[in-house]
Amino acid sequence: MAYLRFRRVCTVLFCALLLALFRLPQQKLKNDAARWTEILQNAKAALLDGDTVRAQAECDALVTSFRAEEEALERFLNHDIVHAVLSDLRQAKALANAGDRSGALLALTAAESDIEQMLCIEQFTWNALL
Amino acid sequence: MLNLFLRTILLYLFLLLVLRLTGKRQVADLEPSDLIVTLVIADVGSNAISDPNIPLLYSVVPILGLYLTQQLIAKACLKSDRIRGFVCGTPQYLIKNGVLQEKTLRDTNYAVRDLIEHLREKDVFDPAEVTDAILETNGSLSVRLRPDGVPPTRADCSVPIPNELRPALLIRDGKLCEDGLKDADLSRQAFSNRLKKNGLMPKDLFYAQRGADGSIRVQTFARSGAKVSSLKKEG
Repeated sequence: MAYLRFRRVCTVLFCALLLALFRLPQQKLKNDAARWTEILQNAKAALLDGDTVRAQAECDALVTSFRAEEEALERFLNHDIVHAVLSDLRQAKALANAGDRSGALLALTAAESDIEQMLCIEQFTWNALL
Repeated sequence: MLNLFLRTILLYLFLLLVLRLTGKRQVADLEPSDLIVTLVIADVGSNAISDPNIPLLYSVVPILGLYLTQQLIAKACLKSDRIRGFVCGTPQYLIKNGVLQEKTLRDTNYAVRDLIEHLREKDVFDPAEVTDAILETNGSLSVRLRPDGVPPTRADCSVPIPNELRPALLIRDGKLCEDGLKDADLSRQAFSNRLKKNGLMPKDLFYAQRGADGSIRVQTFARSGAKVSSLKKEG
């Protein structure tokens, strides 16, 4: 009897845990990705305008913001994709600091695509399911 | 995470279907659903252990998914015979009334040689001795021998059947077993008294068991010589 009760309690807890896991990581990723995409767009705009100083500041903010969330992301995302985004962002920052605008733009575009991929992993779609 | 969970359930159902289609011979002692859970949990678990780039949740979510699906299927099997029939299969006669069931043997991918091998495992060396052989849902074979091949029982020989008690473990590894004492309908005090009458104390014993005839077989610790004795049933 005690075992049966324990199993029932565990099953309810597992269901609650799963429901939380379906919602919370996705929500966090969505919020973070929106913030990063906004900074990323600002950095791209600054690079296209030729404003290297602003682009450097935006890239710097992007790297700092991403690094702050890196550990949390690695709890529910494959570490490879997290490292790929960070690597692209660092590259963009280094290229912006060196004044290589086109290189920095390419690196930011790669980071943007990786962030989209991260979002796809957590978002439910039939394509992702199959 | 929802993707991961749903993929696990889809894969579970697919594996279940494939395993059911492959027939019972591949299952060997496990129900198909149990086999899948065992195999997939082992694989999912080992992925997270061996690859540090995979978050632990990538293993936890599929394992929870498998557990919950397994629970749901077990409940559904209890409620519906049709679902149980699909998930676990149904027992099938390979020999019925002494006749080999050719169609069933073919359907279950059982060669006559395999059947004879399984019969030998049951100590039956001649299929002619068998009335019925049933392939169970877990892949094992149950055999009913012809009445003239079954050893006689006490009832057949009209031998009086003693009123046997259920063996109960009273002391194991030097510790008193409360469950065993309850089974033997003995209080701690009564047990100690019975030991005392024979010059023993519970703390001296490594092992004690009440046997089917009511006697208590005891063994002292190795440091006291590992002496084995049997305390006869009282009055």
